[in-house]
Amino acid sequence: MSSPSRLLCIAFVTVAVLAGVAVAAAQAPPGATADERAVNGAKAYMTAKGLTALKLNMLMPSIFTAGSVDEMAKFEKLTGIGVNYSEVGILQIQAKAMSEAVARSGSFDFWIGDPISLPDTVEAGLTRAVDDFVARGKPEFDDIVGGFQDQGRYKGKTYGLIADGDNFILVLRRDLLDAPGERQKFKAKYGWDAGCPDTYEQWYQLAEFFTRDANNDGVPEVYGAMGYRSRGWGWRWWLQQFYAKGGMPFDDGMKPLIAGTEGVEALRDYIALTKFMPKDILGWATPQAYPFYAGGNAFSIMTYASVSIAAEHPERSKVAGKNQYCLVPGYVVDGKLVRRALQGFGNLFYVSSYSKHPEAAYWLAQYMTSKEVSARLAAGSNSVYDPFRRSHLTDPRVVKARTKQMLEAHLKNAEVSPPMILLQGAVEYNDVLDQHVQEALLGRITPEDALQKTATAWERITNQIGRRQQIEGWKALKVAFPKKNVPD
Amino acid sequence: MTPGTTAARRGVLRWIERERVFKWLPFVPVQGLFTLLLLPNFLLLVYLSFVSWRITRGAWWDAAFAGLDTFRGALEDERFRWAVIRTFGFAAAAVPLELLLGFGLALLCRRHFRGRRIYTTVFLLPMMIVPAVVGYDLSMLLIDQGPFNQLLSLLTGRTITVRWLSDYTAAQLAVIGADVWQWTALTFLVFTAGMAGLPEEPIRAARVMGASRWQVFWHVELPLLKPVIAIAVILRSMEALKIFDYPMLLTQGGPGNATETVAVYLWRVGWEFARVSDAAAMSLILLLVVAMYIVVAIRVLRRERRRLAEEGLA
Repeated sequence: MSSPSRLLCIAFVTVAVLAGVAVAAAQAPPGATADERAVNGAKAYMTAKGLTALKLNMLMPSIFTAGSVDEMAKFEKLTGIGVNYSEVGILQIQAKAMSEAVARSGSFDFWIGDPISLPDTVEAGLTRAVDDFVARGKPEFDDIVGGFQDQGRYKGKTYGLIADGDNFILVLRRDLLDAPGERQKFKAKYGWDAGCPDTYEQWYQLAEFFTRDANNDGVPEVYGAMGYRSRGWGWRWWLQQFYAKGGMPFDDGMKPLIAGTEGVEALRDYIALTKFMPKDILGWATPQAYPFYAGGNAFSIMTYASVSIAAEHPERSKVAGKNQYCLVPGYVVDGKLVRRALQGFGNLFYVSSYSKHPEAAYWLAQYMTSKEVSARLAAGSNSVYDPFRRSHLTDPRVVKARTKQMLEAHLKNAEVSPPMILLQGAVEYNDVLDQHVQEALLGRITPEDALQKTATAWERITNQIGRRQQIEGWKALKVAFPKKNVPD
Repeated sequence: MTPGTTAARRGVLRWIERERVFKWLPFVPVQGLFTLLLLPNFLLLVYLSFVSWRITRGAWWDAAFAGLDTFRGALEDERFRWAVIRTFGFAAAAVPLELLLGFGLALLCRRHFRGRRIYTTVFLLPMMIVPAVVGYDLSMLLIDQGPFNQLLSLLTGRTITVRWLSDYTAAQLAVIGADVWQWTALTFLVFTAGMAGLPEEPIRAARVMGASRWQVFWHVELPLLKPVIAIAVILRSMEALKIFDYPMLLTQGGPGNATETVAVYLWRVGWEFARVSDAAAMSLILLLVVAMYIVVAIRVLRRERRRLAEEGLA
């Protein structure tokens, strides 16, 4: 064989072998369900790498630990891929992730984080797009209720797998509603039948009526309402009311719109309702709020759907079986009721660009978010993973842990679930809003000033990041806002 | 051996024989360590403060030169200015309290009494707890219907429901209180060591001359302790100006910005908002302010030492 022919032959064989390897690698792992494919994909990965055991490093929001470790241990048993996790406060994940974006050390392979930090971590090069793995693993996206998985997408790519359906839900105490004579007294006073409120005004009336302070000492035995008002959290509850007022945070040129009538009225209502809440609510988040409600100390709470785990806990809750789960209330805008249930957190699994084993990390993420495993997680007694799949609605384990009524209300709320402000610099936009909303709540500034100051700060942030880029981001985000006013 | 090398060797030996070589020799490892560990970071900080870089905007070495713009931006940032003022306010409230309490406890433990060692150990314990643990525990103790208010209610005989974590002023007091609770132990330690090292002669002389116990303390012991007090002030001030754990764990810097110290704000700007250059400029401004304060404090310390030396007491 002549020399050029031999070279051609070698090149052909090499290309053929490489193509074969690539095809084999790109093949979808076998399995009828996403968790089976994740396990098989992980096993194939281990075989391809010649590994028998592998420990991935993970950043874990501390409130997720109790709900996650058992399933991760099962995955390790099945595949040899285990997890060393570092617990981090849920609001500190962004900062930890950003430090890795600078260090590029590969100190962790994946993490559970919120969607707010996604644009920044992508732009910083930290979060790895997982479309290639998604194409192979087929993680049953079609079963996910609309809007949830969109939170893991940025600029047309998939970066995160949704693990936690975090739109808000309103819970009332049915036992207090049904107490003898209460409904009649309520109707006589307010002119409508007490129950799930359609509007924030109705919720205010319920809170007012059911606040019980028999000793009249300013420390009620039952508080009329609960919602989060603390630093880092409270702004989300205002944003939801603002959206229900028909408000949008920016115009098409990224000029802030929050300081208008809708924003100010929503903030006034938000502040007004706070008087029916525990006095220390400005310092509370989930660890304080859930036990307080489950202890029977409040008539109503607007919060994340995981409250149902605490509220329906057979041993730890005093109100198990006594709760009424409701669609979030709204406002009447132009004669039509508009309900908005904010995606108030929404945790996702993200894979690090600096991971040495991104594929292994992805298979674990797919396993954890699959129909089967996510149902187990949503039903777990220590879990804060909230339902986000249609199949959760009919899964007997989830129904038992959460109640059918809760699941129906939660997934209906998801139909009118707008996203938070998920743009580059989102953490700063939201922090500035949070700061001023709290200052208004404390009475240190007026609602008008609070929102005007926020708008001014937002302009500065937009200019610093680059208006053109932000306009593009905002255009893409606007698509994710719900089109209907109320759920079907 | 060539004549050249012999001359060089003699030169080195002559250099080593000079005493001043040994005077500087102990500093070589320290300076070496400083150069290796701190200087590159510091230079990087200075570099970053003169460019315009966010973590989300490519590599830091490609960032555009911004001159003094980041410093101007930092000085114009109202939130930064308030964070600095607030932090100095916290330090101004916490450090004197820690000094007074530490001094008082050290005086008490100076005398010999039964169980003195146990008390001394107990007083030192808070310092050994990780600040994050202190912050977490206090966040549980200080809720408005929590154990701390219950204790106050029991002591006062009326219902106390101070919102330590959600009232603007009370939250600031809670942060100061946390710092005082933990770091009084350090001032206690410094003063205990200082008191143990006081020279006996001037005290004995004063007593022989008929000075009362108070006069001995006020006119002899306290002046002798001034350098120790200055050291305690410097140590605690430097630490108090970096306060981070308590405001983060107790209140997330809230309510509003009530407890947002400069360390909390810098952390937010740098790592949450990804504005690393702005954070670098703010850090340098803060460094300058703190350095000025420390220089003044060290001058006072030196003056006191000189005075004591002149009086033959040190």
